[in-house]
Amino acid sequence: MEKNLFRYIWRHSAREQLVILAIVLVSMVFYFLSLDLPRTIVNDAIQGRAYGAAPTKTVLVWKLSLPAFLGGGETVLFSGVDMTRMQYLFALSGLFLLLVIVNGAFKYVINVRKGALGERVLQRMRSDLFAQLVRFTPEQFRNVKASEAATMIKDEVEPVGGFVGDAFIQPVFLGGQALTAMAFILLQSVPLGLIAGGIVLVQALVIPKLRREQLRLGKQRQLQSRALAGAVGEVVDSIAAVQDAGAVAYEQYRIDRRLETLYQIRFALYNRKFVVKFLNNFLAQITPFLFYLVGGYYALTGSLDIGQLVAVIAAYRDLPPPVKELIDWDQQRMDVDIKYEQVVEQFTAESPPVPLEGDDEIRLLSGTLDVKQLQVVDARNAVLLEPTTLSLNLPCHAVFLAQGGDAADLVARAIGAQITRYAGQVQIAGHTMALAPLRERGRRLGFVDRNPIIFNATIRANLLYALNQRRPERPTEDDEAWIDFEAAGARDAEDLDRRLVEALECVGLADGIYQMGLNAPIDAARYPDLPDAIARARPVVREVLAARGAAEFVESFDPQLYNRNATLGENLLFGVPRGKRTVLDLVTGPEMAPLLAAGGLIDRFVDIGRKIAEITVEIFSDLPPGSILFERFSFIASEDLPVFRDILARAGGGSGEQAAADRRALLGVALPYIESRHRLDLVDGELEARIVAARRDLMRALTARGSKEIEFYDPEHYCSLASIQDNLLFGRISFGAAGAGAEVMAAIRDTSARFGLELAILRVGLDSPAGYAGKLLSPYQRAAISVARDIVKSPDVLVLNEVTLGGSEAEMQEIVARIRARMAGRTLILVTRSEQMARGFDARAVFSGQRLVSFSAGAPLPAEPVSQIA
Amino acid sequence: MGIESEIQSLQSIPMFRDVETARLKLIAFTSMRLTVLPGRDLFTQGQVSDSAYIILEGEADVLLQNASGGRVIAQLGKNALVGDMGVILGEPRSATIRAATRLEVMQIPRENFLSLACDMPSIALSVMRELARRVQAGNIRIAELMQQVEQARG
Repeated sequence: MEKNLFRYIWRHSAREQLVILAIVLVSMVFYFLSLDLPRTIVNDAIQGRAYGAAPTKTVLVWKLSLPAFLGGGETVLFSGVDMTRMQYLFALSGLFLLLVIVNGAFKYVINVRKGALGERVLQRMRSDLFAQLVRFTPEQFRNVKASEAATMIKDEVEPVGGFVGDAFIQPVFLGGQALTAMAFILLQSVPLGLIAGGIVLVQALVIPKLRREQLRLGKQRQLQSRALAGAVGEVVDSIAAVQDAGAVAYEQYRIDRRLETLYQIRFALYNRKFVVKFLNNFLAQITPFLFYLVGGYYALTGSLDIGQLVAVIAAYRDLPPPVKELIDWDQQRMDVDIKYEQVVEQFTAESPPVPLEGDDEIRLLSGTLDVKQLQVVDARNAVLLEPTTLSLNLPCHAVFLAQGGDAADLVARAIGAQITRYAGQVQIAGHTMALAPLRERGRRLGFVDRNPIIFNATIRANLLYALNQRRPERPTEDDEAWIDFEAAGARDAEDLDRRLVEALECVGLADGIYQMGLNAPIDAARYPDLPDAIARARPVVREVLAARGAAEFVESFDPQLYNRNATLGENLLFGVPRGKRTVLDLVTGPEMAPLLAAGGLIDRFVDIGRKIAEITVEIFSDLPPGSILFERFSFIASEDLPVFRDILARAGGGSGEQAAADRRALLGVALPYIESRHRLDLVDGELEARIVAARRDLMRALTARGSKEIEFYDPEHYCSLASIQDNLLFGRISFGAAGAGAEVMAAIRDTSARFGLELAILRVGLDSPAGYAGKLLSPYQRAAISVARDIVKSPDVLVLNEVTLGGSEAEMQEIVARIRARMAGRTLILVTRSEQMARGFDARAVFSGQRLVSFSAGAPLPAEPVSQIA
Repeated sequence: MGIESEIQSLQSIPMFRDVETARLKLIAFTSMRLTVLPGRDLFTQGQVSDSAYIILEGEADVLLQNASGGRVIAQLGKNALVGDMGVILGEPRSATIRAATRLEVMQIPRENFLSLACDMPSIALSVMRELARRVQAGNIRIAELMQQVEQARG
């Protein structure tokens, strides 16, 4: 990236800069006209100097006079009109108004253009920085903190954008003004002109020198501010460890120390800044003093007339503002320059970045994979991998067995182009993949690490990530526009999903995604035919369940009965809230709250909430905040535990508002309670009967009012807001029956296969969100998705670096066998620590400590025709 | 029957004997309570070990299956802990557990079991202690058998 800010700005905005400059110059003409006009209005029209005694006069004559050295003479551009003084006043005032509007319009156009210009260059700069960032090598990334890189792109270049519009225009404009004034003074009196010039020279030479220190401090301030952001970010990222270590006070101290350093720098900066300001002001004031003294002396001695002296002093009044602004501009320039330089420095790699796209297609299907004298050392020169040499005939399925140490990991990373700082050579089919164009590398080489990376998007988007290869012709909001259907060998979206499902089956996640589909409601806009099909399948699921002797495993929704496998809230509503509202919103909302309050049911719920809160606070208090048990089982989020401790301590006391908020919080804990699941003995037969009665009253009242708050369960109709599973079963799986889940699932699968609904349900599952960093998925699911993503892209060489797939080793063996079948004719390298997993591969390398201890390569697999997806 | 009775059952199991009541409540709360009808399997040999179980009520047969069918090798009753080794080792079920009578069990899913052990050192220690006890018992049994073999040879 261009290291000089001005060159960068000029390169990306020269044309627009010139256009704006031209507009500024044209606007100056009108500006000077508007300055001159008031004098004419007062002198000629109001005081009537132009008229003398005559009632009318020819006015508004426009003449162009040529100066004597051009031959002199006059050209009449407009011969004028006859007007009375009153008419003349009106005409001139009208002209003044017009000029005001024209000047305003010029200002508007210039500002908008300057702003847009700045924003465009800023946008470009951010885009360029990001482009640099994503092409860093893995080692460079290790030195970049995510929060710092983000601040740099987001905040630190922001002032640069504000400066771009002024970068060239301001100095030309202000410099022009200052030079005009200087020239005028010089014309009046050379000695006074020299004095003025001298002072300006001092300003221009001394002040920047003083500012150099200011700059150094500014640079330091920026570094320290960024370090502060990084330090805060680090504490936030590792807050669990900080709290766990009881090191809050220590971290507070470290941040406070940084803040103190920052203060010291800023204080020194202020000192400098105001010294410079003082000097500036002093120099500005010393000039008139010299003018009066020297000018007065010349006037008294008769070598300068009074008129000239007055004119010089008047002209000098016009000199400091542009000079001052020019110095301000210079200050801003230096500020921005440093910021820019700093940021660009951070984003400039030592080695030239890897190209994005290359001209030649790379294939890694045949030839050899050669690792020659590969050696890796750490920052302290400790050997992590002793010189290692091995060669694989492509294609082949190889296993790297790691018996302690990182050697296998490092060799795999070097092959997968995940590390580039090593000695020796790693080539696949003659290509050094770490230097290959990123796009080709991405297509042909797959590397899945044991810590999978999952994007905050749907599962489908995660799986399709590597297929985002087709740049759309026009920018579009539609993410799927990027998907290269052809490369995936798919005809349409449904066909593509079918391929995704195949990949999921391969990694043993298809059932999990199917379950996600069952747990989600249908987006009718996306799958218009599915609700009807599900509704048709509902009675058949029942029949299949009965035939399997598993009918008692599902407790049906019955308007007259309490469902012990559903929550308190669901039992009360007997339906799903519409819109974005929760059950709690409805129960405490204006429509339902009065209906429920009458029976005292809400009070019962609040009591239940209190008991649940007591138990939760008791048993979950000792768990670390990130524990999955919290996420799965606690009624209360870990960060809310202290809140509930307070609520329990208040025991319903406190102000009216507080008590109401407490009741709402406790109600929120009670509504998700399921007796057969949580077994706290909180719901008995009597309460069940009351809830069913309240449900009937609610239904009647809300239906009578025509309320649309709840979509009620209806045995005859599809409930659009309920999950597919709820609709298929029209009930809930019993929590208490062993094997109920598996039996019911088998019945659902059986029925959905009969109705041809399997793919449709899986597609709904693919729409499920993965959450930030895959938080909504289990570790197994995250690993499986990251492998499936690379299977979908169908690379020539795939490296699986100690990825754990499946729930057990036996399951993982089956999955690896399936992956191997899919990778037939292509290369797979599996890194594992399990001797069991390492059996049956063509080639086998055993690593221990920092070295390769044994290597045996069998015959290569017979090459098979490459599948269509490749 | 609520969670309180399950806590009592937990307290009578050696592995959980030294664990505080609040922790036992957590184990019970994060577990499921299941009923298995007579003749049905709680789990079958070769299945993935996804949970450990505690028998709260009823009796069960332990079956070893081979080509010729199943053979009952042991019986389990109230407060027996089943399937814990498979969960810890991540290995498939080594036997089938079939309900001899109506069975009430507490199911501790594998993930919960492992995260309880990770999050609560006292639980991890109890598990270790129990496993060490079993190894010790095994060692003593081996020593006894060796002695018997030597005596028989002698």
